[in-house]
Amino acid sequence: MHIPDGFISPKVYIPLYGISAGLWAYGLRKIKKKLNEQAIPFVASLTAFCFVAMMIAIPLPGGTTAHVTSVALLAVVFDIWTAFLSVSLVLFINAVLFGNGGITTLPVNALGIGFIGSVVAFYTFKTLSRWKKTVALFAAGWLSINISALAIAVVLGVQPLMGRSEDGSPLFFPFGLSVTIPALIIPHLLIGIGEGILTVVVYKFLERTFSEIFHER
Amino acid sequence: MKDKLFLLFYAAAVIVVTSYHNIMFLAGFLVVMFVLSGAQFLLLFRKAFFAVVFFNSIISVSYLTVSLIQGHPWAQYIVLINLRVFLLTFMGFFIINRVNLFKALSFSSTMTFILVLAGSQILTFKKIYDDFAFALKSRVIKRAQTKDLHNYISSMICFFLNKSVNNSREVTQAMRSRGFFGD
Amino acid sequence: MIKLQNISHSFTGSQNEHIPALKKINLEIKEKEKVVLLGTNGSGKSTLLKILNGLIYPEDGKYFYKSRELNRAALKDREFNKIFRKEVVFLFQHPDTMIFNPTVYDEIAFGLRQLKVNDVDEKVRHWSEKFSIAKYLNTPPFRLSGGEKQKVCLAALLCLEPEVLLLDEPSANLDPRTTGWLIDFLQELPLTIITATHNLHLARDLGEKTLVLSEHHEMFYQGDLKAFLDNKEKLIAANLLHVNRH
Repeated sequence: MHIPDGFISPKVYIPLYGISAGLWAYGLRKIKKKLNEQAIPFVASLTAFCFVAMMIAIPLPGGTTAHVTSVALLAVVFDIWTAFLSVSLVLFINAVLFGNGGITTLPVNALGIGFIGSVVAFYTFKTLSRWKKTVALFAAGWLSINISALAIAVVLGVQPLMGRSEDGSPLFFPFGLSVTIPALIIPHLLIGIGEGILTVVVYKFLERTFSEIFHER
Repeated sequence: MKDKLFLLFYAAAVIVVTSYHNIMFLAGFLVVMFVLSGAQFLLLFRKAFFAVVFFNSIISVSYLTVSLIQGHPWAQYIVLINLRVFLLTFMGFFIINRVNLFKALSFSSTMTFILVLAGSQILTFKKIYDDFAFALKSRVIKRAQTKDLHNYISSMICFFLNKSVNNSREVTQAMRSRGFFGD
Repeated sequence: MIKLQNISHSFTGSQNEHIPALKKINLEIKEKEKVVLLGTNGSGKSTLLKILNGLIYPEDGKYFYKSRELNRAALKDREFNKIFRKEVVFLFQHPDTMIFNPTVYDEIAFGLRQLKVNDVDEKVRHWSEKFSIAKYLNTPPFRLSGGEKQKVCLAALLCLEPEVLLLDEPSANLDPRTTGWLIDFLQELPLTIITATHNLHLARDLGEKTLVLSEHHEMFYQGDLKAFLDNKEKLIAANLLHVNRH
């Protein structure tokens, strides 16, 4: 979801930057504890991975394609923090290093797609994998994208409450929750299938051909 | 120092532009940016226009439609939002072209390090990604089936995942070899 | 068989700048000719191979394959595309980028299955034996070493019985012994072969004719390979040879 800068109020993106910064520091400390000096190269390499993964479009039933985030995959293969930090860094690199904009939407996407997405994927997989692994993987991918979309829809949908000009017209994103939630959720019900397929297919491929990767956890 | 100041100025300007809702002020700010951009004006203008046109058109047209149906005023909002979004995008492109991000973020060695390592790998990965796409095109004689595409995507992702994990090990060893960790 | 007329191509850099890759390239390659494409890193060898394989379309100039002009429209023609993809095959520099099937068997069979030939199994076995990779038929190609992966890719391409084989730095992933084997093998193949390399030791045995690209992306030399390799001044001018101070 590429939302240009200017639709989110500073009353929202400044506190969200604060929350993100706290979680970034905590996540990096967690990874450093586990991997010691390999932590920084590890996060950097997985960021590069996440970047190319986002270029890939998955064919969906019906002939369309959907771009994926690979958040669920990273969360179930590694952990929540690796997924969250990689996604956040991709957003940062895209916004600032490659100059594609999105400096005010960065914390929204980082928390929505990166943090909430990987938490949902990780726990969905953990809960369901005892029962049926394939279902657990698909659900992790599909659900993580949909909950992320819901979170972003909520952030967009509360923008009309963040202030109005004298004539009563909005200042930021103009539509409320009753519009943003269906507008984001309905397409993601379909797009999520791509993320679900990716998570299942790649996880199984890894198990078959490259199971050592799971020791990296 | 120049780069740090530039980045700081950018952050402050973003906050001001998103906090202050006067159309004349935003328009004046935009004109100043246009003048500052000098010879790059056309290039930046085109880039910013294409970056926002899709999202902004959807929002503007739907807002216009809703307002016309409900009989609300609409001009104020449509001018304000398009002006601000365009200004922020134009300013973003303008600043990014002038800032050496690595210098600007040099106060945090962790941040600089991650960016250098990730940035260089991204460039390599992008090249390999293109080759994957070319190789598929070259090898597909008729039309790839969904199963083949799934295999192709999986093996590509596995390749990059494997490469990332190996790279992170190798980079660590290279850093140790160069005495980075002081052991 | 292959004819390029005034081919030029460039890329757009990250700052929207123009990066030339090839400038006004003219060449002609006859059937069963073995050509070595020489040039330093970044001289445009890979771009030229990609153009010859119909993967990118040059900005300027014309490419004729068997006297039919090869452009976007020609490759949109399903029938022609099918013939071209079967007849002109390309071994990429990194075999990893070409490999995506679950087993070596499927990898080799991939093209054959698309062509719907009847004796897929027989052909897969024949080519896997020829490359001594038959023992890996059920192994994921991902698991193999660089040299073995390259053999799998070559088997997958050659089993289609192509007419033109394009090779991009084929020795980059091979140890000396396998490189020697590969050169002998290629010499005996009755195909048109175009090999891009900057390895002069290798070049000598890879063909009769050479095309040399300069650092400025222009055609620097075109003609007899041996004569070029023996001409020290030309080699230095093309930046393919470095004269040590000692």
